Formats: sequence, structure tokens, C-alpha cells
Amino acid sequence: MDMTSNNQTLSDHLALDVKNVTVIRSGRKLLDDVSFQARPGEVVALLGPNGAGKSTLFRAITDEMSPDEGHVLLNGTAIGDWDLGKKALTLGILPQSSTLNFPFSVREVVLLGRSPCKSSREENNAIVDKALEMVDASHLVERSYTNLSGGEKQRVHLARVLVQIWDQPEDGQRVLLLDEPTSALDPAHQHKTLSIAREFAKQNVAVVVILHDLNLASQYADRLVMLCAGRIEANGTADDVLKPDLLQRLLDIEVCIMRHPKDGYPLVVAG
Amino acid sequence: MERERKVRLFILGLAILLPVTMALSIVTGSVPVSLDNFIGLVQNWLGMDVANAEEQMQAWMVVEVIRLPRTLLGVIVGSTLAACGGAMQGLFRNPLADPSIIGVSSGAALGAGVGIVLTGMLPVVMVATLQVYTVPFLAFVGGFITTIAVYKIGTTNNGTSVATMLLAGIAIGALSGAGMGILNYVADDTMLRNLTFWQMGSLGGASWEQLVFIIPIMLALQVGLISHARGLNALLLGESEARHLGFHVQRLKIRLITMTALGVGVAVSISGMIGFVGLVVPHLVRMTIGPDHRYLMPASALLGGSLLLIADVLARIVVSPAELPIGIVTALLGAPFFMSLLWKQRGRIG
Repeated sequence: MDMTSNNQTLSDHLALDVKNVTVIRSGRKLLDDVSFQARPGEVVALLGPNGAGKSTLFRAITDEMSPDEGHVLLNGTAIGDWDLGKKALTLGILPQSSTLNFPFSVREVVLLGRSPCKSSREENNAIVDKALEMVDASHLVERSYTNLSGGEKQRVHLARVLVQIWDQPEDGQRVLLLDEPTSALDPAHQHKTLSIAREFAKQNVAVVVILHDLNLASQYADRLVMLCAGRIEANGTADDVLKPDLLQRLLDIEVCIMRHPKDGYPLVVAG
Repeated sequence: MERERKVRLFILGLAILLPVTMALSIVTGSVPVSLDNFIGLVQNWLGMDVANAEEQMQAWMVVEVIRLPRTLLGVIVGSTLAACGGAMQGLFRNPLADPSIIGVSSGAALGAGVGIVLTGMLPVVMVATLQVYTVPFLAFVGGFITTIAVYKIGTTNNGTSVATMLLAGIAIGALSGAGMGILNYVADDTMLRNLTFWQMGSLGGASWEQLVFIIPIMLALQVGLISHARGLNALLLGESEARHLGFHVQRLKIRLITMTALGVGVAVSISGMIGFVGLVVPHLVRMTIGPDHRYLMPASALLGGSLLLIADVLARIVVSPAELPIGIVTALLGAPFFMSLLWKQRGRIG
């Protein structure tokens, strides 16, 4: 994966700008002065141990929780000031899990992602077919969603979010936010999912993905942001962040760092 | 694409079923009326000459004053209850939500009861006119408060827990029952008869004056509910997901709660507590054409009208020449259906 060429095409414009966000709930600082940016064309991996505040940050970005201090800007405009319909065309959000328990067909579920778009039925169906092919779920198209396995459901929802931000909006850059998109997937589909993230980044989408697997982050992300106890402890390339002493301190694991034999990116090996 | 053909066929079938059941409802009852009589009446309305008009007079009277209003009331109440049930299941993200099961109907009935007793205390001349507006309004208020209460108690971002929802329904039912008890206690004989009727449900009280008032309201409500079909679809994904898709979820919820409470409230105030229509009908539709509300809502409205008429015909012929309250018939058919759904869901309820 060549990351330098990608970095050169980045504009100065920030697609997502999280500025000094602090969230306090029941007297506890869940997020403490968190700032990070995602530029168009960039894949940012958000890492951190359980309880680090990743989900809180996710909810602050998606405007489900308003920060006590600081703010979140999407294409330069505060996230809460966006028109909901326009925001839906700009910001695609894949939550960790979904509670859908009605027997929609897979096509219908993915088509729901097109509801903010103004395209015709034929176009929508064509886009849904392409997205399902991307996530390797074409064969499921007529199946009932409720009968799918956990991993299949996760891929179907990924397709739903992809079709939502499929088209370049009139102004601004798209942002794709994925919360542990690989948690229910087998290794092949984990790689597939992150390759899709890269492919969208190539179309100038800013991708922020919450991950636990350091090696997946190292392989696919341009930048790694490490969150620990509500604070950002590291923010940089895989080489900057994946260091034995840092990981020991933040994640409490003893590791060796090796190099991928072909592509050269750092690999984290426990022990 | 197979599904789309199925949907079209199904809705076409329902559109044919409705006039058939309406005709059945018009010709069924203790006074014999034939389809010819009805056709003759329609021709008479249109100013055409009808042979042996004199002989048909009695049948015509029965149709004009009793059967036709009753049939129209059955269609409008059945379709409204079914549409409200479908919308409520989407709102609660739970296929077992039904106005009668979660206590919205009993809340509305309590409101209607308060209306009957309050207006009943006024001088006789004022009662009739006031009741027409007060009773449906208070029924709506009762239904509205109940829906919000159940929603607040039972719904999280993960949908509505069946157990919590049903328990909330039991609590609200008990509360409404107690309220009804108090009303029974203070009511005089006329009020008492009215109250009893309310708790059983009946289409027998249909009159043209009422119909003129409620048909436009309920048709508008059904159109309103159907026009929120896309929002309902998105809501099934979860509230946050619906918001991420660009829907104003808070506004959507308030509208849906208001419309369903109004629909159930007006239906209850006119025809009493008729349970399970809102549960059974959308369920049958969903089993046939899937959960997409753009088709589910209109199909449920059509089927709801037909099914309630069939239940009413049964209520009229089972113990003829007397008749059963229709609420008993729908409960006899609907409760076992509900139990079978619970049976299928057992193990998943929590």
C-alpha cells in the first residue's frame, strides 16, 4: 500500500475537525481536550483500550452527545448546525451493531441508505448492486436480513452506509465513520472491509475507523490516533505510534515491532 | 423484483376484497336485504326509476339508516386501527405493539369515559352536541398520554423490550380500570349503559352525523400515517441510524405518536374498545409482502377495513337475532393469534 502518493493529493481543507472536545458525565471526564483532524483522502484509525472514550468520541462526532467544551466541525461547519438531509449525504456512519429485527430483504436494508438521495429507483438499485458486490454480499440480495449471520449483517450495513455517501455532494468532502467494522468478520472480510475504506479514501473521502487490531491499522491507515483514558496520547503514522514503550504504557502489552516482509509497514507481535 | 409483483397482486386483491365484504355487511342481519335491494336503492338515489319501489321501501330504510352507516363505520374504524397498529409497531420497533395490548386503547377509553360522565352531568339539551366533540377529544388525550408513557418506559435506543412494553400495558390497563371503576361508581343509569358499551366495543351506534365528522378526520390520519412510511422504515434501523439518514427523528416520533393517539382515540370514542385489529392485520400483511411501510401501511388499512367488517358480520349472525359486541369477537380471534406470536417469540423476549 503506497501511502505517500495519497498524502500528496490531500488538500489543506479539513473534512472533519475535532477541536478541544471535553465531555463530562456524572463528574467524570470521559473526554479531555481531544483534538484530531481527518483530511479528504485520508484513512485515520482510532485506537485505544476498552473504556478509553472511543465510543464517547464517536457519539460526539455524530452529534448524539454534545460536548461540554470544544466542538466538532464537518467541512468547516459545526456538526449541530448542519441541515440533517445535507449532512446525511456528507457523513456516513456505521455503528457497531444494529437492532433491526424486521424481515426486510437485504436489498431493502441497503436501499434504506439511499433514502436521503434524490436519485431514481433504477439508479438506486444499480448502486445497491455495486455496493453489495464490494462487500461480497451479492449472493445475499434476496435473503431476509433477520436470517443472516452476524458477519453478514455487518457487511450489509456497511453496504448501506456506502450507498448513502456514494455520490460526491455538491460542496464539501465526504466523511465515512466506521465503529469497529471488522468486529464480527472473518479475516478475509476484515481485509476486504478496510480495502473498501482505502478505495473510498481514493475518491477523496475522509475515513475514520475505530479498530482494535493494531496490524490492520498499520496496514491500512495513513494515521493512527491513540486514545487512552479520554486523552489523545499519540497521533501519527504507524511508525510514530507503534513503538514498544508507548504500547507498553498505553495498552499494557509487551510487544516486538517487526516489518512486513513485502510492504515494509510495522507489524506488532506480542511477547 | 419478484416481491414487487407480489405486493401489487396482494394490494389489488385487498382492493377487491373490501367492496365484497362491504356488500356482505349490507345484506347480513335480522331484516332480510338482498343485493338487488341495495342496487335498487342506489338507482333510486341516482334518480332512476325503480320497479316495485314500494315493496323495497323497508329494505331501503334498513340499508340507509342502519346497515350502510354501520358498514362505513366498520371500514373506517378497522382501517384506522390497522394503520395505527402498523405505525405503532414501527415506532416501537416491535412487531407485538398494538394499541389494545400496550394500554393505549384503555387510556383512550378512560378519557372517553371521563367525557361521558362529565358531559352527562350537564343539562340534557347540551349533552348530545357536547358529547360529539368532547368524548373523542378526551379519548385522544387519554391515548396520547398513554402512548408517551409506554414509549418513555419501554423504549431505549435498542428498541422496545417486549416484556417492559407489556408490563407497562398491564400497569396502565390497571390504572384505567380503576379510573373506570370510579366512573361507574359516580355514573347514573344512562351513563352506566354508555360506559359498559364503551368497554365492549360495537359498531351498532353508527349514525350519519358521526360519520360526516369522523370519516374526514380518519382518512386524513391514514394519509398522514402512510406519508410517513419512509420515516418508519428508517426508524426500524434504530433512532440514531434514522437520524444519520437525515430524518428529524424527534419530530417524526411526535407526529407518529400524535397521529396514532388521535386515530385510536377517535376510534375508541365512536366504537368502544375493539382490540387486536392493529396487531393481527399488519402482521398478516407483513407475513405476505414484508415490512416495507410504503406498502404495509396502505395494505393494512385495506385489510383492516375488510377484517373488521367480517368480524362485525360474525357478531351479527352468531347469536342472531341478538348480536355480540364486536370487541368480544375480535378478542376471541385476536387473543389466540397474539398468544401464538408470543409462543413463537419465546426465548427471544427480554
